[in-house]
Amino acid sequence: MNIDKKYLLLAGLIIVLLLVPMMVTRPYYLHVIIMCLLWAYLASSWNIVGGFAGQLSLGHGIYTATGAYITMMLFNTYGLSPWLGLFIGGGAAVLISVIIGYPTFGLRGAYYALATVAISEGIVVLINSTQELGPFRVGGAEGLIVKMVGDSAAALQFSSKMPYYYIILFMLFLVIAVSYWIKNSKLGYYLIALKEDEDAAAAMGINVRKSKLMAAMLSAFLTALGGVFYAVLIRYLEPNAIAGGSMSTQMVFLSIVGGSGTVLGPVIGGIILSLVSEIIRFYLGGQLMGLHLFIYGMIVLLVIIYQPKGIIAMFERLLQRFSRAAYKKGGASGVKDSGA
Amino acid sequence: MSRILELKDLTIKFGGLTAVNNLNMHLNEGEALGLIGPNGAGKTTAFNLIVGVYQPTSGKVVFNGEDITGLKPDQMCHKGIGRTFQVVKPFGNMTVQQNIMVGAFVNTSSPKEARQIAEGIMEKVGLQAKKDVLALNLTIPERKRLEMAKALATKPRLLLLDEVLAGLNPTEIEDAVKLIKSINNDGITIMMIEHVLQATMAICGRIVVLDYGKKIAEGSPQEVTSNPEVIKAYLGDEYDNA
Repeated sequence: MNIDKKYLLLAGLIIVLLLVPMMVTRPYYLHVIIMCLLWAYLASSWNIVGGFAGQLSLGHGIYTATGAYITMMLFNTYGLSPWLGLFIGGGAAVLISVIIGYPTFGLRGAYYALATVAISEGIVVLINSTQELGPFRVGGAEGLIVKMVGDSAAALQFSSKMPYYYIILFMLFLVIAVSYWIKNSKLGYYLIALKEDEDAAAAMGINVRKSKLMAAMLSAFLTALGGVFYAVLIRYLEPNAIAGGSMSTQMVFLSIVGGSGTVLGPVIGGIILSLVSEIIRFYLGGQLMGLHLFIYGMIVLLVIIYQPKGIIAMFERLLQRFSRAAYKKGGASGVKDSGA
Repeated sequence: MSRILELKDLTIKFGGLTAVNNLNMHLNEGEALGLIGPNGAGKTTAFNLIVGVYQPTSGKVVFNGEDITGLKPDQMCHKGIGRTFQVVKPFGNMTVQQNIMVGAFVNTSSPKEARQIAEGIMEKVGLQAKKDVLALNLTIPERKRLEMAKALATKPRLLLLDEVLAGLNPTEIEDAVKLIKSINNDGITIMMIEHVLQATMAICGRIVVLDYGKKIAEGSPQEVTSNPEVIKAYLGDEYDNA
């Protein structure tokens, strides 16, 4: 495939994505698509520290919760627009990532993963048991309801689903761009190197702890933005849903099944798996409690066994076969093309 | 001749074991020095003390007139000390070129420049043909070359080579010796741990012998190999009169 064709394909894809809300008119379907994109976004954000840097975080729910709660508490109490609140929520998430990462990134083995689990479990309990925090209402186990102000771009409240679709689409493009930039920058080389071998990386001048921290901070900020988006979309924060283990592990699942450490793997994993999960839930959800989750788990298991490098590896092989076939065809009809 | 590296009373104890014991030695700028000794003599430990993997119990490491004792390996690299590992450590899932680029990033932040630096080094060590091969698919001699290439990419003034000839056949050793000599001719000071004595003698003007963590001999290859202490250390007491 030559470069012109690639760009053409990309442009076509973007146009189709922009037109989706015109074609999908039922709010439920659009909501499902929005959630798929949100999961793709969150998985990609996790991938920066979990995939590129290879540091297994099992507590990214902390960051979605930090972003969502802080932004919404500021909005409910002071009417501060989420557009501004997200920087405060994101900043707080970055701070927490440093608190977890600084002491544990100097160590090897499971310590970072353990610290993320411990702190995230602690935070879930903390939110569940806190009703008020100074002037702010947290809501404890009942959850936090976002104050309704009617259609308002400043408050990110829309009665139509369409604006949310475009916002999350933009966020997904943003996280893909950031991932692409990391992968091709000095930081990306450093992260992959230290994931492969920390001693060799240090001997080549890499400050291992600093590089891991950079990845963790970036990842925390982007994940917090995902939390803010969740809050304005759902308008209700339930501590276990936004901060709990299922939120944290879901990001890990989607990223690994899609292909962690790659730019597009988590995106593909996020979209495909969320879609599959939603379809199974739609058709089987009412029949036997938990059956859809069991089937979902089996699918994840099968992918991990037969595609350990993720769904993306399968796509890449298909693409290679396809482009090789196209190349052969082109080679037979004209030699010019092969030089391009 | 200026001294690029000086070890002063360098000592490290692991519990009751003194792995390196009051080691005093120096390297002159531009020379090639061999560090030999029986297995377990403390050669690799001495390397790890120089590059900061271990912190010495006592003593000093002076590089280029500056006391650098206690710095971390990544800081040592920025100071200009490169090293290879006895058990090679390629970044398996990166290509040869990407492996080398990681080192080049010490002196540049631009991937484009790093790629150019890597090109030059691949040519130097003869890995151009393997440019896009994943490092995990390389043969042993190629891995040893990559190990040196990665260290060279950081533009070291002093290069520590830890048994880069081990496991190579005679032809491969000959090639590697040529490569190390040419690196040395480029002005990079070399300190190498080696068991292949003939090759070491071909490269190094001076040899230091360690045994049980202590320096037992120092001098030209001829002096060292005819030293009775050294023969004893390698072959045992019975050969005392040999």
